[in-house]
Amino acid sequence: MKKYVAMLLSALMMIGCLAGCGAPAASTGGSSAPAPSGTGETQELLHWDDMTPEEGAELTIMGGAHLTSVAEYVLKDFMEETGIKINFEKYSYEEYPTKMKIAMSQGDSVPDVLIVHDEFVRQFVEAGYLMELSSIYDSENTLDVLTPVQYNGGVYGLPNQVTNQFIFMYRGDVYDELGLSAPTTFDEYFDQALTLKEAGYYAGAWDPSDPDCVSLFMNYVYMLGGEVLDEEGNISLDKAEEAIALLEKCYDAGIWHKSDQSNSDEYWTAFNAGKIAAFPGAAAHVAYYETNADPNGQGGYGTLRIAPAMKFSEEGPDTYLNNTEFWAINANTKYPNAARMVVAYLTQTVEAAQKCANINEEGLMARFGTGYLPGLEALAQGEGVAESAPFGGEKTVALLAQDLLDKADTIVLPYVDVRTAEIKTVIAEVLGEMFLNDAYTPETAAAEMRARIELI
Amino acid sequence: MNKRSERSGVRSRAGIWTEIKRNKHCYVWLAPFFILFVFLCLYPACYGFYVSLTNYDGLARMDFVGFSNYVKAFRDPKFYSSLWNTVVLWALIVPARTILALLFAVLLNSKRILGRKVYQSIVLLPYITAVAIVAIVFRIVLTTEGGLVNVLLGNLFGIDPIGWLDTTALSKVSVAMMNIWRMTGYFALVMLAGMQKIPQSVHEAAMLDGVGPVRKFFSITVPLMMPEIFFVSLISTIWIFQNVSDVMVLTQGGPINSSTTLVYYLYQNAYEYGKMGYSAALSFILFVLLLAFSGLLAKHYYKDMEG
Repeated sequence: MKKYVAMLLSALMMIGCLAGCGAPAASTGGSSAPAPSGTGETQELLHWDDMTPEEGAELTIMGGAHLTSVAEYVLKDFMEETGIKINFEKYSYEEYPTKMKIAMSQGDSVPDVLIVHDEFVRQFVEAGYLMELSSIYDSENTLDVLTPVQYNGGVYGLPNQVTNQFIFMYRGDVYDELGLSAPTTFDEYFDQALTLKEAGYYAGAWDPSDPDCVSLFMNYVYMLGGEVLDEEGNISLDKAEEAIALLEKCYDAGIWHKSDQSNSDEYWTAFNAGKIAAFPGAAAHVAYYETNADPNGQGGYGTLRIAPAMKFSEEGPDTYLNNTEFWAINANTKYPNAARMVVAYLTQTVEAAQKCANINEEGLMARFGTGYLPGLEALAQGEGVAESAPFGGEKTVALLAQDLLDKADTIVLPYVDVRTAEIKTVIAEVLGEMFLNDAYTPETAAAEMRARIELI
Repeated sequence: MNKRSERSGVRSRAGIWTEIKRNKHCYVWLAPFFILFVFLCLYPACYGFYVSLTNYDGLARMDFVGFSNYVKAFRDPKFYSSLWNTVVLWALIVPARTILALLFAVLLNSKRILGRKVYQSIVLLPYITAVAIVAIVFRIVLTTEGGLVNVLLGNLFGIDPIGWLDTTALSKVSVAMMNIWRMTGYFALVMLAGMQKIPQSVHEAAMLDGVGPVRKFFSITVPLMMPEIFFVSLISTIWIFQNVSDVMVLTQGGPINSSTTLVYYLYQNAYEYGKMGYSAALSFILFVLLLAFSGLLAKHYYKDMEG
């Protein structure tokens, strides 16, 4: 009997660790739904230096490690100037939403300020855990990408990185040598890819066995003018068949290196060996090329260039915003003024926008523009923007900011929510089954995706 | 109840309190463990069970849904595929690791090997190395194009590159190889400790009887090492069923979920999909499975010991 009791106890200990780790106390937190505010009211817009922080204000900022580190860098002078003490809690991108959820659902006042990706922020807003930010939101001067944080007439977050549109990146030296110029349509891209293949280069990378293969599928869906979820959050997968057919055409033509573009060791090995000459993708990846391009790599990577995205179809958009994050404030913070000052400074000043575009410190690299339009305009003019060595000394953020400003009125912001991670897993499974096991045609694959997503 | 059992019952009821009073210092010594156990293990486990009966999404919603999460699990094809992957990994890892650990222990116990203490430290190195680092090394070694293993196989035997990490047939083998490499050293030291407890006189008696080294190993060492072998098998089993890091860092469960284990699936549901209730239900199903599995192992072991 003793041995069975001992076994039961050890098994209980084990399961306690498993089951208990993600189970916080029952939710209390903020109100069940945010109070409508700002509807029809004209509020005086507050600049960060119009406000006075609470006596002895000490804030905690929580988020993914990289973006929180960027904020820490950007806020150095701000902290000295205002006397606001800020602690920075950094977690991996897989971990931070859970940490935040646990803190917020227990009604904690910490973290005071949060940086949340678009796919999670909606859940935070609807749960009523975030402070309404109309008082610091300059609607005239902010890029219109706030759909995920607008609720009941209020605004509950302000955008951080917006220069993350779909763009075309390529090796200028190879293109010049082969007499090519950046493509303006998908068909042009495909033809160029065949030329590049003949010359021994790849025109991108994609690996259907990698869970991240879904990213390229989504790029194609959005660039074709389709959607995964419609603006109400219903399953749409409009243009999924066409996107899969294009993926199949490219994959079968062998124009892609078999790796996860910009996100895998295999890709960077091939890139630094000079095998990859075109790599369309999200603008946020420009910074990856600054940190991962190895000037001493075998074969070299030549001179990189940036161009606007090619049009995938007549009805498709010029580009779309891959994703963004939002600065938000905990509704229960003890220091609302100080928190508002921080968020207003980070999202509504040219100074912060320029700092975010120019970080190249030991272990920290950032090359992005925030959603503040005067900031984007300053970046587009190259004011104080660093030159990028792998891109032949070009001011990459200036090009990205200009591209975004050119398309600001038409830019597509796909609907994402908390289901998106699981939807991506399901789509990646179907793509893997199709391309590795020949399980589907584009039509049946799209139908299978719909059927499986319905079950989520 | 007959008089004898009645008498013993009365005596035992009275006796319990007397015993407790007499040995109260022992209970005081034991109390910290039980207090910690209740707060850190029993309470979370009970709370986890309650969560498994709700649709808790990690944020606000926590409606009672009865056993629907359990019903959903038993209708979920991914639950079965991840369970199957876990069982395959168990079958690949536990026998190989137990045998390797035993062989390492024999080598480390051999007086003919110079610098045994140094080797004892070296075998532990993979165990104390961060999983993420081990995974990076294994990705470099096993990558299809230009990976060390494929380059060696190609140069030595002319074999075409093998998709160790990107084929459904081999992804579990890759995870198993990494896990065996990472953990065998630790279990070898456990085995070594057991081996060193075997009295020297037993070996000497066998030698006097003219028993050869192979027979000695199978007829003396292995039977006397059964408690350690059982321990290694049981702990290996529990750790494999619990292990999420190897899969997460090496294959992310892919390709096409071919290396997604039950705990990784549970992790995905909890932390990536925000389905805490469903994840808690999966963890309790895992608990029952592990309990049954451990029970079977224990029954087999004690039967052997008694036999």
